[in-house]
Amino acid sequence: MEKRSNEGFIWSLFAAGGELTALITPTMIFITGIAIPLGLFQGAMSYERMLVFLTNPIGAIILFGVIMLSSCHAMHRFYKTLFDLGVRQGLGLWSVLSYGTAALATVIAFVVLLLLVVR
Amino acid sequence: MNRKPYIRKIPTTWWLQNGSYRAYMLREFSSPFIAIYTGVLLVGVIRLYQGPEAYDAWLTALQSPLSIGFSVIALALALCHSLSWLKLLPQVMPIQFGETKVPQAVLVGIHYAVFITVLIIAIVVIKP
Amino acid sequence: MPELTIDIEVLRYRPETDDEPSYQTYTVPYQDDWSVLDALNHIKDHMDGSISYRWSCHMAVCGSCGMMIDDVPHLSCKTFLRDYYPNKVKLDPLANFPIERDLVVNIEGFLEKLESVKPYLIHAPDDPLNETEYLETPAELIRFKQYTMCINCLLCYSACPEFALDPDFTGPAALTLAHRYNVDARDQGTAERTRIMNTEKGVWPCMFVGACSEVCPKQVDPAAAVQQIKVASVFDWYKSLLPFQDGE
Repeated sequence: MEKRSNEGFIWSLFAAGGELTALITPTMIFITGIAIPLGLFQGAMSYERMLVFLTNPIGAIILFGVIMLSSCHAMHRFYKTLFDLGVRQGLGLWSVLSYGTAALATVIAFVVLLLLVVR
Repeated sequence: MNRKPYIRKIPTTWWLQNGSYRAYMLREFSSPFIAIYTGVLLVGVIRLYQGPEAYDAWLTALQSPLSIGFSVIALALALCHSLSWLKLLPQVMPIQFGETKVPQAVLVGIHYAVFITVLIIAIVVIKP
Repeated sequence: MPELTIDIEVLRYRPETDDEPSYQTYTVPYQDDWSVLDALNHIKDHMDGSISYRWSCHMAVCGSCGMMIDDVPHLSCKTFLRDYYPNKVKLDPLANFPIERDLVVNIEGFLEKLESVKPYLIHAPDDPLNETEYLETPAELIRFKQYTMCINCLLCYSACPEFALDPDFTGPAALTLAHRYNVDARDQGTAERTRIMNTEKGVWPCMFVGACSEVCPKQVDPAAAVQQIKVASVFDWYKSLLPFQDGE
């Protein structure tokens, strides 16, 4: 009956991601999704500049942290929202899909950023 | 006498019932948008690894009306998430010095200051 | 001048005859110093003695007169007709609980949960403090004082959608009282309580909707207590990975 839930682990990633996304995600969406495409800050995200940023280990670690924590945060909340909305059938499958997506994004980010740094 | 407790059903649309439930659900709806946005970032990293042409194609794709429209909605929902998160954090981690609790308004204020600082630093750094 | 009146719409459920509840409207005299509980007492005494509801102190201390007033959980003793007049007032039993009769709900589930979290001071039999006074400094007191104000009125359970969706969830008031003892410097029962909180139905169904704290008539802020339990539970989870565990 008193079986420890692993929600503690998941929630720690969710909460860390929640704090991070609360502080930086609106700024990031504004810059990368709106300002840059509309031509503000011309050349700010050019290939050369971003390559310098992400081949630097510190830049790569920052972006890895952002992708890992944002996806863990968002996919945990997404899964919980399905429960709130009344989804009861196939919840197990949804949890594999949700947390699997977050884990996959984390692994891909790790591999690609590592390749960028070591090349 | 036999008891016969009556159990009321919860409608699937319970979250429309009042203002705080609606605000809660709006905040929760930020999650698919933040997830998709994170996916867009991840694609950008992969394209950067693939080389200049691939990366420029990603930048061009960001200029499509679909992408900008998505970003506007995602920004609005991300702001909902930020506002509620920054407001609620002092409840999760109260700070107490001796016999004085730091007022929640002070903690929220500090949090907003960090948010604004991130925005300013990002703009200063990104400016070519 | 004709006497002013107000309509009170009450959800009636008589288990011996009814298969489901239905509303019955009573027109009562309107007095601007009457609470909703006063109106119910008027109905019971002068109009319909068969109506059932709970109350005791009439001063927001006993926690028994909670009900849904226009679909919001309130104590009926500190909710006034003047805030609704001239509109009718709709009364339902506390949401998310089984209806026993009329405005009376079955709270057995809550009592079991409350008992399960051991909301009392626990200390080891060999604790040297047993021989002396248990001093609590003012600084230690303010860490939990607000949580001691809980009167178990269950308005927070009626406001909580996660409890509605999962009746096995330990829920706001029980968790808050557990937290109240966990942060009490005199208590040594945190490990016992944490085992209950760490379970699937312990603290984790909470999604921090925050509605519990909005409806609390005693400003206890259960949502804060529940989030603080989550943080403690996270540390406990990571601690459980360590090779050397505290003996129990």
